[in-house]
Amino acid sequence: MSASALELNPSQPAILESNQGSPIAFAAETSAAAKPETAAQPPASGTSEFRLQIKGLHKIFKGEDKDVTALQDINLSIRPGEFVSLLGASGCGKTTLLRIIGGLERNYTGEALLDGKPIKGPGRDRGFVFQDHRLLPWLTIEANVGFGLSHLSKKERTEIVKSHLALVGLEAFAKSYPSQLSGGMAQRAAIARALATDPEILLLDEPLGALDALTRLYMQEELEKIWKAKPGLTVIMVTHDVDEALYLSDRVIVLSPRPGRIKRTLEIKLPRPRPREGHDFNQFKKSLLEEFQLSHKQEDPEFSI
Amino acid sequence: MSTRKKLDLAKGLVIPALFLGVWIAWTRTHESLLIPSPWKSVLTTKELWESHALQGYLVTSLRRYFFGLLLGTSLGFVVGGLLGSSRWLERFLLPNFNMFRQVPLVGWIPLLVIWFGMEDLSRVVLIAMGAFFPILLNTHAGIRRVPAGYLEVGDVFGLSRWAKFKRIVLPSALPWIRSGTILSLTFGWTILVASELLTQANGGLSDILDVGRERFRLDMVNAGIVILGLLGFAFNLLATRLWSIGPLRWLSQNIHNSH
Repeated sequence: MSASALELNPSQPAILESNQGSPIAFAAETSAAAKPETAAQPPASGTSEFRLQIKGLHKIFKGEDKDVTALQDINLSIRPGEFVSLLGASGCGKTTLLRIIGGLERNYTGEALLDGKPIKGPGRDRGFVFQDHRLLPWLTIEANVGFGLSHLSKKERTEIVKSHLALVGLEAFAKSYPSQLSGGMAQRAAIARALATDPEILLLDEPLGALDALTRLYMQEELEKIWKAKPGLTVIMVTHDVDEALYLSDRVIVLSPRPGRIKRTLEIKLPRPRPREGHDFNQFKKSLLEEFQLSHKQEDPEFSI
Repeated sequence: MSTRKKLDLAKGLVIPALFLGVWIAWTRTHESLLIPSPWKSVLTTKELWESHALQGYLVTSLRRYFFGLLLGTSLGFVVGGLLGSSRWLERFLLPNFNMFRQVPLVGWIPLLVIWFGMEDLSRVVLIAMGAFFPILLNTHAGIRRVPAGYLEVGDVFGLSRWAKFKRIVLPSALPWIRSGTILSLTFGWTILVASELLTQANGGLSDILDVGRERFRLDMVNAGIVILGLLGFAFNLLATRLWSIGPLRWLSQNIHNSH
């Protein structure tokens, strides 16, 4: 593989790392962990070079019996055009974090800044794709793709819809209904719908999670093509699939559950399109799997509690 | 229509055809006042048509039916929509509607007659009451069952409350609203006949039944029953067709495949 890839030792902590160690020691580490991050990066003054900044974010879900801390002290900065994955097992708060960025979750403490401005709710500057495609069954595919464009004239709308159907390769299905599409096609239509409003950030919530394994691989390649076709498009993808995160991301952010926090950040400096195996890929994969204690390096998690 | 559908339809016609065959065969040899030949009913219908009596009955009955339906379904739709959109209104009103609904509709007749007289107004109000509840309950249920995920799609695109109602809630509730209207239609037709049989010589289709019974003309009674049945069937068919044209085409497809 290329020399550039070998320069990075995947097992070494990346810049944005925070909150390593046991949950018990966590309270003491929190404040300390937040500082090195800001220090390691250029000072964020007003509208920064970052598209998205999350600073000291906490999110608590109020329960009937007890409150659940979904996210604890999340610090994260994402540059324009970056493809970032939030990787973690269920319950680690990755979807909650994505929904906060999308403006769908409120009542958190800390800061979530989009282009330096606090996120106040959903907006057309962010496109959201859910795990289930959520195409509206009463609309044709073209009407679904144009759903967020009602503020435009019919002519403009038609043009944008047409180009986005072409982007995801669904021109022939413009007049079809969602029930007539396969899972992968429906998800492509959902991505087209999210991109039609020309957002700065595309938020993907396990977008390929409901697809079969082969369609999934194909869709990963499609996603990469779509991302490349939209210069400057920032993508944040939630996934629990290590290979998927490695194949697509510039940066993988590993979250660990209960409470959800950033465990590790890994820059994937591999040239694209990436082979799905080979020494470098496997090195990254190994180091990520170690985070989930799945590479036989550590004790069985069942007994380590 | 596909061959398969034609075949299915033909299967449904087997029993009526047998029944009619036995009836005709029986009346060939045992013609009686109690079981008149079906041909007699056909002739009676023809006579009614030629004397313009049938047309008069039709116009009168259909007028009552449509005004009752219009009043009942539009009110039911609006109230159902409000109950579906507001938890507050729902808590106040729904238990009351459910209580009123338990009174068999014909039980209201004496009260209505005293208030509105033995006139068409009483009949229209009764039909409206019959049509009111099915559409109300279905509209309400349809709105309550809008998948939360669809509403979130509206949130993502920053839709206002009203835009979400118009573009997501209402279309999503349409399959329920469709069922509601068809139930209202059917129920209204039943109530129409009940309301007409209240008074003799009211000028509506039930006069055929009434006059037939009085003169012991069972051929006429049978003709009346068949006419009422065919019209009810036609309205049902018409409603189903209307609910599947143009932009409503998706309603007739299996939408459950989609998520």
